[in-house]
Amino acid sequence: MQTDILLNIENLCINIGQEKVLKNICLQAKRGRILGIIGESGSGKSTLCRAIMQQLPPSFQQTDGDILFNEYPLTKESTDIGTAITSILQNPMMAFDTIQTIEGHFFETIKAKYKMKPIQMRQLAERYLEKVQLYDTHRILKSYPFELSGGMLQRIMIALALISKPQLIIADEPTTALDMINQHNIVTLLKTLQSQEQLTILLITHDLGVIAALADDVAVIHNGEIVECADVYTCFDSPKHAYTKQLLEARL
Amino acid sequence: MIKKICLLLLSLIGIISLFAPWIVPNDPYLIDTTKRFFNPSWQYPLGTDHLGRCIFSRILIGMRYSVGSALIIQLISSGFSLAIATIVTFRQGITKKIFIRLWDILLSFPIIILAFALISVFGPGLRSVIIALVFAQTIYYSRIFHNAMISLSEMNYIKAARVSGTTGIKLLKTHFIPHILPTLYTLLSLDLGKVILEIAGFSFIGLGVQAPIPEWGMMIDEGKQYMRQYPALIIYPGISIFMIVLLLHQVGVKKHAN
Amino acid sequence: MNILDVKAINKTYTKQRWFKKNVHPILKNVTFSLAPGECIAIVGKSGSGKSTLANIMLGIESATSGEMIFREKTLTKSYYKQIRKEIQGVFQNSYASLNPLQKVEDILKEPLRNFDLPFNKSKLLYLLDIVGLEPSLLQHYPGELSGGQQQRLAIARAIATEPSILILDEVTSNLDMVLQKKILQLLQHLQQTQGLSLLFITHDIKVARFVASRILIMNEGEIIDQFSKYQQPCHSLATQLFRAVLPSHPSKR
Repeated sequence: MQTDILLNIENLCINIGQEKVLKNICLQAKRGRILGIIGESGSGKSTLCRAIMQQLPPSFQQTDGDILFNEYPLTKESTDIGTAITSILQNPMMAFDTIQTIEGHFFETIKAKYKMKPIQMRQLAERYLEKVQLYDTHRILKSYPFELSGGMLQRIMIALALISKPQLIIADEPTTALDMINQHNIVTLLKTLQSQEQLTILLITHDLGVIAALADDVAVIHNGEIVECADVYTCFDSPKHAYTKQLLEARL
Repeated sequence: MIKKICLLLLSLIGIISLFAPWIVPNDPYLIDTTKRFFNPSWQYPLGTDHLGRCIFSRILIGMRYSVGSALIIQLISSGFSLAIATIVTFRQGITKKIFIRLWDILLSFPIIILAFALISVFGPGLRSVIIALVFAQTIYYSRIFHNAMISLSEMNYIKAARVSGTTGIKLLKTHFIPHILPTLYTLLSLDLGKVILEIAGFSFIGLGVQAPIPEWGMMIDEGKQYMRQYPALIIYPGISIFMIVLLLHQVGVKKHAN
Repeated sequence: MNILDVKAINKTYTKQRWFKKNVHPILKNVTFSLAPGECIAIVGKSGSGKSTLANIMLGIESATSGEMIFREKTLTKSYYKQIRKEIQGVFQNSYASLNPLQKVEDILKEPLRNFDLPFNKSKLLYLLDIVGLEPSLLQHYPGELSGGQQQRLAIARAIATEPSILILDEVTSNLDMVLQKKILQLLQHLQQTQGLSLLFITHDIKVARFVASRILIMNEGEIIDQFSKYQQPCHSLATQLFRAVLPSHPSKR
């Protein structure tokens, strides 16, 4: 059943031992919109991201709450993860397997969802590389990750995230490790792709500029709690929580 | 927990070897052919060897030679190698290149040849073995310390210290040495066992200590002829070497893990 | 009178393999000046040579050619040794620039000792106070401090010798927005109260615009553009950088 709310997080509580890392998180990612989650390092936003992807280390315990995707609870065994929900990670230089070519990465991702011959997979990979504005497809597919720049690797990661035609993309600080010009390019790319492909994106960042550039809705996370949740204009123009105001004042 | 026990045992062994001459039950050098190959008894806790000497006393005195020499070797070579590593790290140009080539050549040099050369000069005995091993260990360690220092010198806090005006010896003392020490301790303790074995090896082939010194390798060498009838002659020193090396490895490995 | 004149600094890295010489130029003809009490920023992406320039100015590396003039006197190696306490720096990764085995009080004492300045407790507490750190931190180790506290400590160490020039190499790149602004405001405050000249090295043009009165753009070892805060850049790469700034409000998308 198609609902407006693609991802619904209800009262999520995550602990390490006795320490509360996430406290009663309630979030909703609406279909076709970009939800930006902003918080400083240590606020719990990476934990939240990993909890949704069901990739929490064993020391983290989910003590309460549900993560619902299309109204079904997400678990470690859900097949949606990696196909209907894909992710773009923070440091593109570290996120790739150094001993596998880019082509190998694509094949691995494509095989998880489709059954195709190598030549079809290659064509599909080339199509998606062009979608992320990388046109030297032959050379890129044959390259190893260390031969490519951070900006290029980030685009390739986006291409890999799109290839299984996901419903939800989780972008965990996609621009943090990039320099200014690359940051701008990736933000522009994500905006273009989102409107083209009608994507739903969960965007996690510590940079208010990224939120201002991309987000439709904003959730502010501080000390493991969501302190503000509104659409982006309301958040910027009439912030309610003191921390949100602090963040807005910290703009240069 | 294990580390604590091992450290305790090692300290005990250290104390025993210090006081060995006074606590041995019998004279380790006393030959009495009427008392050959006795079984363990109250008087002779581990029995006697082929010359009627108390094995236990010999093991205790031998500890000083085996472990003591190894300790001396390690300490001297650590000192030399730190000095060499420092010089090579901080001198640019031709000196550095010479040393690096020298290291490559010398590291592939078998110590045994060196030992023979030294023995021809100084005669066989513990002294030649110690010199040869100090030489070998120094080359090996100085390379390791040099590499460690090179990677340390890339650290930002070294840069910051230089900007703050710290130079030369002060820089070494405050910023380099404290970070090299853990590596040094690990190497010292892990290799102590190796060096003991090497000393024993030299003695076994007759190049190291000479009779009647009860160095453990020497004891094994002497006892090998009676392996069939009285394996005790090689088993006891063998186990002693094994135990000490084991304890040292436990302590060394744990320290490294910390 | 300019407090620092940098003239035609070149730095090349030569790799000699048998008979072939590989020359990599890192800095090409870098020339600029710093007036007393001024704050300038050098903006460039990583790899543009800005950190090498900082190292040369701090006396950690030497230039292949060119000269620096401090207070109208050419900086030779011996002169540099004399005035070293006048040019201090803070580096990017604050944790890496603090010796993890040294206590906070020893870290602060080090520059003071090196230049025969008084290092009594009141001086240390004064330093901690200026940068907003609590006195109780004196006995702690850097690993026990937060990222923001570490950066403040690095700043305190740098100003301990009362320098005239402070060189800041990407000091806020790893920090969150709130912390970044606090550190920048601290540096501005120090500039005014201590009469420092600041040289900010950053890849973020927003930071440059916030702190500096004059901005220099660096690319591939060269200064390609120089303009004051209120002017617009001329060079296309500089304009590109300006356009790459993310909006401050959703309406400006």
